[in-house]
Amino acid sequence: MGITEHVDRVDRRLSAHPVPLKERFQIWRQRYGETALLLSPLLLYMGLVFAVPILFQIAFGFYSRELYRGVLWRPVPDFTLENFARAFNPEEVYIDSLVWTVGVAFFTSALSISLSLPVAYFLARYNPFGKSLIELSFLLPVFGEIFTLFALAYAFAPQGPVNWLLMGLGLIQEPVRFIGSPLVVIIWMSVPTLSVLLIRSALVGVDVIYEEAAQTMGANAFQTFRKVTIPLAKRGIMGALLLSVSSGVGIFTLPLVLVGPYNNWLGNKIHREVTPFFNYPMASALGVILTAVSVIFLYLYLRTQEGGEDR
Amino acid sequence: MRLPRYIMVILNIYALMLAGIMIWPVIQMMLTSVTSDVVFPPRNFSLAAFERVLWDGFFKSMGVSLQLGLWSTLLLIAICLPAAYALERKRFPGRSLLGAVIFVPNIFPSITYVIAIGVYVAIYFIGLRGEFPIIVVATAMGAIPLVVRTIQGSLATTDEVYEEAALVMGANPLRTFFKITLPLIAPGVITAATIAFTFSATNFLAPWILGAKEPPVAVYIYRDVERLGFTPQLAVQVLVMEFIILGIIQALYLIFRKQFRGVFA
Repeated sequence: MGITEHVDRVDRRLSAHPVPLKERFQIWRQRYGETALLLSPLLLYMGLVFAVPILFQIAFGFYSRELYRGVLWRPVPDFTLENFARAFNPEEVYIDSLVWTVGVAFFTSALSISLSLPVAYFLARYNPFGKSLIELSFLLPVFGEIFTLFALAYAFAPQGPVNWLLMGLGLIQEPVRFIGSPLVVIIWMSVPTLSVLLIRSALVGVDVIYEEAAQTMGANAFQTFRKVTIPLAKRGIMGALLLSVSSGVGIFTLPLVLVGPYNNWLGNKIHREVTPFFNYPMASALGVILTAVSVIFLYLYLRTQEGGEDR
Repeated sequence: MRLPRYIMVILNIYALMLAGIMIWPVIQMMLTSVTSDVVFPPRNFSLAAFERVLWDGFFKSMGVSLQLGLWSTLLLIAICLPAAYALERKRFPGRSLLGAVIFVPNIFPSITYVIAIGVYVAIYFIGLRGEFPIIVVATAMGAIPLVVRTIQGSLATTDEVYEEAALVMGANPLRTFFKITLPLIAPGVITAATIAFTFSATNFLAPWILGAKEPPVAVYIYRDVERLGFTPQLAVQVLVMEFIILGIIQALYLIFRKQFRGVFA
């Protein structure tokens, strides 16, 4: 028991006799004053730059709008569900975009995780040839998003290496136009990168004993992997999937630069509501929806992770 | 488990292939920057693209990027260092909650909160739209979790007894922090600063959405993409950008080499 808890307990016993408010504040200041002072810059910054705009975004989502000077739609403090109704109206473009965003995030995450399973297992259990090179390569995205983005654009150019490879293998007859189509974003999202590291840490947690037992009983390598290893690492794998989907729905820069500003991802739709249309209430409502989707997947991820090691 | 040899070989080739995909961007950028058109296998080698970089507004926007990186780093260290200290050394109600709140900028899709900031500024502070201070505070937000966690990790591995000894000897808390704690956690703080700097100086999302009046280099390059498409000239600009930023970080490590003695050795 720490000293703070002890003081708390004494406080509670004393509280039968009411302590004047001023004195209570002095006690609080003595105990937590320094901490509050240390935390105040961060709390102030996050409050002003993050919490206030987000709260206004939620509020604007429920505001109705009026045309201001014939240029932009200004939010008017008048409660309405119109923006959310429009967002989920099948005749408008938004629900289509939401389904596309979540669908692509889910599909590419599932694909990327399935592709990373064998290599993650291999890295978790064996000492492959060129191990340091392989492990180093997964840390390379330190160069930043812009770098990867341009490299992708050049790699998928009409006469770039990807088309060269596909034509060399005889899979296609003439170059595919990757840039400007959502294909390049989907391909890059499906390439197992970070998921290899996540899955590997999940597989390291599975004890080799179970696999050996299965093999002793006569199961072959594939059966062991499918029936023993995967079920035991299920929680880690599900966690990686949900985390990957959660970050995949918020994708913005990749489709913007590689597909162009008029693509179907919800992030870009939100931005289009702001920049050419100046429809702030609609942009806010869509922003709230996108954040909610992302947070739901993250919440599910946290649910898979709780419960500790005992299960 | 025991795997047949041919499966081991296949898996190893697969792993090396993935590593190749991850390394490919670096090779691709270098190849593209020394050719005059984007063709594979490369032909028409030329260094013409390097000349063009010099007479564009590239270095001006590079300067804006470096300023953006510098100011965000200073802001982040100034607010995250005390917060990380409080989170690691103090006990207070709501400590674990605050530890989770720190991660919110990573949990929320960055596009939505940057748009939220943009809309908020456009409606209530239209005069400040695209001004440098707004860009700095919006850009720095995304790096908060990383910076706080890095400093906190450095504090967690530092023994508290040295601070207690200094306090017992009669040093006041501020003096103890600057004379004892800060030198001990210097490697962590410098690492956090380099993370913050790379993150902010190469950031595209916040400056672009908030419509920076003076475009940082990432926005400047994207405007060229909109105008010209993906020409080899842009590969040169991206490479030069990376070299300058990584060079500054390397210089930082060399300057603070003394602090890192015993950390990496």
